[in-house]
Amino acid sequence: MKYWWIRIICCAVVLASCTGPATSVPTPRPLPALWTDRLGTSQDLVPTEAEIAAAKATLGTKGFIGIVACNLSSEYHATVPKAAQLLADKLGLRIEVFDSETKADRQIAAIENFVSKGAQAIAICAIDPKVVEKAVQQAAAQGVYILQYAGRDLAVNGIGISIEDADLGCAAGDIAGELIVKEKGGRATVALLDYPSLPNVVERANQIEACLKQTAPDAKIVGRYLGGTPENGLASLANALQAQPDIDVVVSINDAGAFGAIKALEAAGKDPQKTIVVGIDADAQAKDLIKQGKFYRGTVDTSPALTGEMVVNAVVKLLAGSSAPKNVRVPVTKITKDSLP
Amino acid sequence: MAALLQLDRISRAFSGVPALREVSFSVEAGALHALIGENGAGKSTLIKILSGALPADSGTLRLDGQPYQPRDPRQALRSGLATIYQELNLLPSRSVLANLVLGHEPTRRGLIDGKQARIAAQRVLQQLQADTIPLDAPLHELALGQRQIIAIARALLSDCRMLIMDEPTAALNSAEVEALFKVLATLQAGGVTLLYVSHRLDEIFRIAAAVTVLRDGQHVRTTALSDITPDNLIADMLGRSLTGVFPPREQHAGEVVLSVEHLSSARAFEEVSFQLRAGEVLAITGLAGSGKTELGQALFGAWPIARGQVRWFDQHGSLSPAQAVAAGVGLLPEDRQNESLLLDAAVQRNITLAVLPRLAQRWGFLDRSGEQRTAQQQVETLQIKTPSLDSPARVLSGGNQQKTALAKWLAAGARGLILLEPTQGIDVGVKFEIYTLIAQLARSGTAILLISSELSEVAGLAQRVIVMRGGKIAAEFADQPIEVGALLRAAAGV
Amino acid sequence: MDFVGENGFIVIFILWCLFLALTTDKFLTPRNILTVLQQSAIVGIVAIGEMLVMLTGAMDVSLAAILSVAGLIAASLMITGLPPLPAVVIGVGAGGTIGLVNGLIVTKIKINAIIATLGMLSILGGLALMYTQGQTIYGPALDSIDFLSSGVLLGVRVPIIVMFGLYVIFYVVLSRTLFGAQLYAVGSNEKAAWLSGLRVDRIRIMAFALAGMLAGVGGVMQAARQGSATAIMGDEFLFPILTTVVLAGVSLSGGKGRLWNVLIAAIFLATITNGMVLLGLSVNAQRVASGAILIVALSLDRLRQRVR
Repeated sequence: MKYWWIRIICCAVVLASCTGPATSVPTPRPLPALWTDRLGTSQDLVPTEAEIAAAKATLGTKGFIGIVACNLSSEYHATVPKAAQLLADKLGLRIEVFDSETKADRQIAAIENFVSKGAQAIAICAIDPKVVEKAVQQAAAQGVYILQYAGRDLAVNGIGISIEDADLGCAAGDIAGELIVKEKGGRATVALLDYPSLPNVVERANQIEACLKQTAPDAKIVGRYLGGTPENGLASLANALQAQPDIDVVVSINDAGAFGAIKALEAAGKDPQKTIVVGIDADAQAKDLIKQGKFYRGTVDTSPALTGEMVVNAVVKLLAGSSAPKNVRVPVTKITKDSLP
Repeated sequence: MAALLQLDRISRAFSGVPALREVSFSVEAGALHALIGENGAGKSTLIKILSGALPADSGTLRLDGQPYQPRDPRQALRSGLATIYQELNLLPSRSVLANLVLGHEPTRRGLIDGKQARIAAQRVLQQLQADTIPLDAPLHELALGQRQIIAIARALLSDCRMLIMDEPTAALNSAEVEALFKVLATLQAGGVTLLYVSHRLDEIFRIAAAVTVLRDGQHVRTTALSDITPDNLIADMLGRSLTGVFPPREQHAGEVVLSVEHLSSARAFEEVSFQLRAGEVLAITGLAGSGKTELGQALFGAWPIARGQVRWFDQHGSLSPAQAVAAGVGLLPEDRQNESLLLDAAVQRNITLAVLPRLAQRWGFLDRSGEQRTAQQQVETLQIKTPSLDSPARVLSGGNQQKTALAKWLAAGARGLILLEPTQGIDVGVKFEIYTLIAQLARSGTAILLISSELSEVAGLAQRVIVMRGGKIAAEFADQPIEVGALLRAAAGV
Repeated sequence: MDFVGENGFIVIFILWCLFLALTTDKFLTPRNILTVLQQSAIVGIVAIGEMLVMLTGAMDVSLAAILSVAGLIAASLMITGLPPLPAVVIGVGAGGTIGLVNGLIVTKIKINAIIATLGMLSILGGLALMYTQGQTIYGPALDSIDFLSSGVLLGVRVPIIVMFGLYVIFYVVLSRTLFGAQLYAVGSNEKAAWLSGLRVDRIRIMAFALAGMLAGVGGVMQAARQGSATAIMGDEFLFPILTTVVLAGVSLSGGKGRLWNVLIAAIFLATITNGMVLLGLSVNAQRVASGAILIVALSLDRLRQRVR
C-alpha cells in the first residue's frame, strides 16, 4: 500500500476518459427505401450527380465510410478496398479500411471502433457472419448503415453486395466438369482443395463438388485436402499423390492453393497437358498460367474491383436517401483460355 | 538433567553407500548442543532424519522418552522439533508477518485471521527482543541476520521444544552473530533445546555446552565442551592433528600490479585508494554493508564505477570482466553456485571456461585434447575430488566446487586474484588446502586481494589488511602479528 | 527405460511411423519418405536458428516473418532482372541483418527477447504487406531457383541436402568450436559466463544474426518451392518452428538442447501431416489427431523430469 496515490491517479484518469465528450454518433435516420423484389445489378447502383452531392453533404466533415476487409494479404481481398478507395477519392468521400487478418473476432472490435469514431456506413466482408451479428445489429441501431460484400444476410439496414460462394464454387465445378467431359471422356480422379475453418468457403467447396458431379457424373472425387495457401496446397497434394497417384484433376477454392498444387503435380511428373487444375479468384498469376496452358485451365473472376466500386456507389445511394436494391449480385465470370485476350 | 533426544544406532545408506553408521548419542534438555564434522561426515543426513525428511534404515529415536518416528516434516513439527536450514526457506516477496505464520496461519471460518496472526507475531518477536522488525515489510528488505531471526521466530510460533539449526552464522557478519547469540540465549532461557550445527569452532566454544563429533558417518565423541580443546576437536573431525591452521607467512612483495585511485561507486563505497603488489596478500575486511564486496566486484569490472581509476597491470580504459580477464585478473565470486560455476557443465569445461579462446585453433575448433590436459593438470594440482572430468559440476561437494572455480583462474594463468569470501561454507580440511594454495600462489608472484569477513582468516593469511566501514577505508594494518580484536574494533567503529 | 525418459518423443515418433507403415501401404515407400523429408526441410532449417537463440536463454518469434521478407527480397530482385545468385545472397543477407538488429535490440536496449521479436514480427509483417499490397510476386525469373526445391544432386533432392548439410555444419559448430562452447555457457549460467570473461552480448547477437540468416535461407527455399513469394508465406511456419524446438527438448531457459533432436522433431512434425493425409482423415480430424500426438509426445518427454 506504499504507492496508494498511484492507484488514485489511475482511477481518476480512467474516469476522466470515460466521461469525456462523446464522439458524435449519427442520429438514427429513417430506414432507406430498398426494394427487395429482385436482385439488383451493378448498374442499379450507379448514382447521379445530385445523389453524390447529397451523400457528401450527409457525411459532412466528420463522417466517413468504414470498410472491414477480411484481409489485405490476398489479391481478391486487397483489391476490393483499393478499388473502393480509388472511386471514393474521385467522388470526394472519406474511407477508412480495417484489416481483419482473416480473424473473425477482430471484426467485432473493428465495427465498434468505426462506430465510435463516427462512421456513417460500414461495409463488411464477414469472415463468420454469426460472430459479428450482434455487433452489426448494435451499429445499425445507432443509425450506421451496414453493407456487406462477399456475403449478404448481415446488411440489416443496408445493401448486400453478394458474390455467392455457391456461384463461385459451381462455376469452378462447371469449368472442371466441362473439361473432364471434353478431354477425358467424362472420367477423372479429382482432388478438391478446401479450407474448412471458414464457413463461406465450406459452402464454396460443397458447390464445387455438387456442380462438378452434375456436369461430369462419372468423375471420381477421391478427397478434400487442406488448401488456401500455396504451402498448404503443395504439401497436401504432395501427400495426396502418395496415396492416390492417379489424381489428374485438382479444383481449389482459391488460386493460391492451386498454385501450390501445381508445384506438387510438377514434382510428381504429371503431364501438364493432361492434368487439369481449376481455381477461383482470377489472380493475375492464374490468368498468366491459363494463357500458358500448363496445368492451370480455369479460374473464376470474382470482380473484386467492380465490387469495390459497387460498395461506394451503394453507400452514396444510402446516404442520399435514394431507393436502391437491397441485394445486388456481383457477376461471376468463368475464365478459361478462350476468354482471355 | 534428562535427555530430550536420544539416538540409538541410527543408520542410513544411499544406494548401498553408508552415510550414517550406528550413530548413538543423546542431547540434554535445555542445552545448546553442537554437532560438528567435516562435509560428508553425515551431519546433513542426520538432520534430515531428525526433521522427518528422510527415514532411517535402522535404529531408534526417542524424544522425551517416547519413541519418535516422524514420517514427514509436518509430523516432526507437530512433535515439537523444528529445523532451520541454511537457506532459511522463507519467502522473500511476502511480508515478514506472512512468513512468520506460514504453515500455521490462524483461521476463522476458513479465512486467515489477520488480527490473531499479528498478535501472535508481535508476541514472539518481543520474546526474542526483536520487535523492532516491521511486520509489514517485505522479507527481502531485511538483512540476512534479521531474516534468520524471523526463521527462528517462525519455529518458536510452532511451539517447538527443540530447534535444529544448520550453519546459522555462515553468512552473517559479526554484529549479526552477536544478535543471534542473544536470541539463542533467550530461547534457551525459555526452555528450548538447541542442536547447533556449525563449522565455526570459536563460536561453539563460546555458546555450546556439549558437542558431538561425526566422522565418515560414525559417531566419534560426545562430550562437554569444558572437557576438550579445539585442537582435539579438529583432530577428532579430521582423524589427524592439525598443527597450525594457517601456513607460515612470508614477505615477498614485488612491483605494483594494481593501483586504485579515489574509486567511488554510487551507493556502495567512496574514495578508495590503495595499491597491490605482486606476491602480496592484501585483505579487505569489514562488516556487512561496509562496501568491501562491491569494491571487489568493481575491481573486476562487475560493479559500476562512478568516479576514480582502476589499473591492473598495463590495462587502460574502462573495465569489464572480459577486459579484466584479458589483463590476467580473476574473480572468485561469493555465490559459488550462481555466479561462479556452470553447474550443468562438465568439471573440465568449468576449469577451461576462461581459457577457451586460447584453446581455439583454425576455424574456431577447440583443441579437445589440450582442453582435457589443462583440466587434468588442475585437478591433480588442486586435488579436486570428482568422479570424472566429464561429471557435471553439480555433483561436487562445496569444497571441490570452490577448488574448481579457483582452478579456472589458475588455468588462465591469472596473475591477480580477487577472492570474495573464498572459504564460506567449506569444511576445515578443504579450508586448509585453500589457505595453503593462497600462500603458494603469493609465493610464486600472484597478487591476491582477499575480501573476507572471517577475521581469523584475514589475520592469519594477509600481510596487509584494509578495514572498511560504511563504504570508506577506516583503517589499515600492516604490522605483524595482526590482532583479530583490533580488526573488529576498526570494523565496528568502536 | 532410461532412453524413454531421455528422448520420449522419439519413441512416440517411432511408434507413429510403425503404425503408419502397418496401416497404409504407402508410408514406407522411398518416394513418400523423400516427400516427408522434403516437407520438413524448411522448418528444419529455420529451427536450427531458433535453437541457437534459445540456447542463449532467449527466444525469437520473428523468424517466420524474416522468412517472408527474405523470400520477398530475393524474389523481387530476380523479377527486376538480378541474376539468381546475388539475389539469393542478398535475401539471405537481409535475413541475417534483421537478425542482427534483433540481437542489438535485445542486448543493448535490453528489451525482453520475446517482446522485442514480437514487435519485430509485427513490423516486418506490416512492411511486407505494404510492399506487396497483397499481391503475389511471381514470374518466369523465379524458375532459375527451381533447383533449390526440385533439383536433384546425387539422387537426393536439394532441399534435403541443404537441410542435412546445415545440420552437420551446425552440429560441428555447437560441439567442437569455441563459439558453440560459449553459446552453451551463456545459456547455462549467464552471470558465471560473464564473470569468466565471456563476451555475453556479442555471443547472443551472433546467435540472433545466425538465426535470421537461416530464416533467410528458409525464405529463399520457400520462394523456390512455391515459385512465388507473398508477404504472408512465412506465417504458417511460426507455430511449427516453435513446436519443433520445444518437442526436441531445447530448454526455454537456455544452455540445454541437442541439435539432432531438433532434426528428428522437424521430421516427426512432417510425418504427422503426411500420415494424416495418407490415412484419409478429414481436415478437422487431422487437427484433432495432430494435437493429440503432440501432447502424448511432450508428456512422455516431460515424464523424465519427474522421474529425475
